[in-house]
Amino acid sequence: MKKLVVLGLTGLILGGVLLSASFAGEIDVLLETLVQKDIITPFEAQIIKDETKQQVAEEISQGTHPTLPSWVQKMKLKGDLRVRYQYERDASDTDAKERGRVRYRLGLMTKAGDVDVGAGIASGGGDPRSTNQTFSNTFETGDLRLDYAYVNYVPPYAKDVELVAGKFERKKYLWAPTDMLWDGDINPTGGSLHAQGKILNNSGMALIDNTDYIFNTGVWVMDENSHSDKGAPFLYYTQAGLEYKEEKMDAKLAATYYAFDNVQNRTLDYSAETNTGATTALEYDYDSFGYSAEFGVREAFGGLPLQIDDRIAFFADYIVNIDRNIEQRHGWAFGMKLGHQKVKKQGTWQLKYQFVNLQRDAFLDTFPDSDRRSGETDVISHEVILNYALKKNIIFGIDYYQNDRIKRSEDLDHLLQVDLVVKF
Amino acid sequence: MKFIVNIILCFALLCAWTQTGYADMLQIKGSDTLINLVQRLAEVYMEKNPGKFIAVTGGGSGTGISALINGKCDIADASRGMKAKEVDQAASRGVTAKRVVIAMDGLSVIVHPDNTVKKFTIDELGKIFRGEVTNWSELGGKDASITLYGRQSNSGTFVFFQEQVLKGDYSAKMNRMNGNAQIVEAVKNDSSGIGYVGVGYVKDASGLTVAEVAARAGADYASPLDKYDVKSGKYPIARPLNQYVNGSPSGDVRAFIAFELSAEGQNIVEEEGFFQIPDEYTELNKKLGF
Repeated sequence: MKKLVVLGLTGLILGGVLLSASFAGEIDVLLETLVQKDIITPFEAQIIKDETKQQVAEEISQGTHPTLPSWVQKMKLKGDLRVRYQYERDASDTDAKERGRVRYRLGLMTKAGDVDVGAGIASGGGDPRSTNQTFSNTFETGDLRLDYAYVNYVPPYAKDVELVAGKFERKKYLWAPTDMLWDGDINPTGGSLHAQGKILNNSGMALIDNTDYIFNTGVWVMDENSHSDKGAPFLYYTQAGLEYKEEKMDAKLAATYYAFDNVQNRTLDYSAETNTGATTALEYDYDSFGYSAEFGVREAFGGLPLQIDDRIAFFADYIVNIDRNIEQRHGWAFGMKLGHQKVKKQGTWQLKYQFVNLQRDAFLDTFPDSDRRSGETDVISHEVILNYALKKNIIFGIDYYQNDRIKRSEDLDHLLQVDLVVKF
Repeated sequence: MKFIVNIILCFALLCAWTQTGYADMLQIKGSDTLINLVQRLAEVYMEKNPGKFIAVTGGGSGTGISALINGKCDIADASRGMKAKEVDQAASRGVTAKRVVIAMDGLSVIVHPDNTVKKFTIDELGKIFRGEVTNWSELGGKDASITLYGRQSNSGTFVFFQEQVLKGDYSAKMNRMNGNAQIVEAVKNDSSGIGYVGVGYVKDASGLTVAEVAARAGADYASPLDKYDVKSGKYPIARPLNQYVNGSPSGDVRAFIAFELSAEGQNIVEEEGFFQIPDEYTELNKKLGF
């Protein structure tokens, strides 16, 4: 009876306080003391810890824990801090440009009823392709801006589908294996749909094993309809593809159609000014087709001192402006990655090479990676990236670009970035 | 016009979707520590139940739990408990993970027979695997650098040892091996090596020493090979070997687990080098009707 009372009390205490890691540590000590005094067995102590941990995690996940409001229990924070040394030099430069930069991002996600709501802030100015704050102007203070704010909904009758509206992170809603077209910092505004799941036959069985269909579509709003200008630019896109995944091999293929409205005959904010007419009035409408692919193999180097989750992957992107009257209308990128798929846990690493050839009017110059000649088109580039996790979520990275022009005769430039990233 | 075309495409796709289907074969996936044991249990079960098919694969506890959460298996073998993040992922996908304990393991610390250091406290093991003690002479042994052999991060054994012994990060110098058998072979061939494996991989193994472990300095040392030390919890890194299922098990899943927990199943557990479950975990299993 005494044992039952002690077990019950211990369980209650644990249930109430395990939200706090420090309390959890104290409870471990309490349970150990009870074990040493032969009041409970070591396994009873372990069961109490395991069961309570799972119960509290379930309650918090479902928002049913009695101590906190549901939306608080379902709240998740994520963020990262990056400190960067950057070296830039054109062949004609006498001296290189060197600078220090910092990036900070913080996001908060929660559930409100049936929908997910998320918002994030980031350092940097208004440029959608950069969240860096440069060390300059005698310790000048930096800006924090709204990086994203969205509402996401999964219809209960179609669990494969996610709908999002607001300003949101792009990657789930438009996949691209390279940053030839889309800088990783760009969080579009508007609405999108992402769907992924098995292709089923009439009896509900998967038609192809280990294979998902992917379908993305959306309307992205690039500017507002003002009183004087009702022709706001929009992007409508549709992407369809397949993803194959098994233990030692994976592949992803997708085709994308981009349709821009009201882009022709206007200028766009944050343009890199390389498209034809970018500084006066854009000459084309930039409707285009894209094709993307990635193919990965694990354990391809059985005899080498690499680990089981080491992976080698090849990827490629291709874009073509559908206006056949344009001379410079193609873009392509390809590359390979070697190492771990995610660089997160201590000792994980990834080496990546990427080649990009993006002709002048293949795509709008407002979106490509800003580190490749400030996001310009008419660019040919080699990039090598090495990332290594010094500790869990602490990543050291080196990123080198060699960029050149396709048509215009400007100098080859070199860009080196040395990063320390802490994720949380 | 483009907008309307996109909306029509979305609607057409939405109308076409239905839910995922499942194959008839019972799929079990997860812990490499459990794989030999569960394969043997499955073989005997299938012999006794013609027409029943069970596929058992490894990949690590994390892989098994992930497969259960994603609806890719019926039973996840796990040599550790579920992490809060996994519980959260399960809940978000409508999976209610329930645990059954099918065997006990004395997680065994192994060294080469030539090594004179054959007893460790938990604190000493933590310092060794965190990389704070790097030479056997610091523990009264020969003057030789310690070579560490452990598992990869998707392994439940990796996580359990980290939580119960290291309480910190593994040394970056630890060799991360694919499985228990690889660790056993590595330590057999390395007179300065130390590793940790499930007891089922060392019970009858020759060419290595299974170390005794004490919970703290001054406490009694205990061996994972002594079933009473393991079943009583005196051996400080004894652990339950779990299976997770989605919700209260029924049908073929329930029938197979019932067989694992039966006297015949538990005899197979011992034949495979592990230990039968103690009373505490028997009581726990009763919550699921076993």
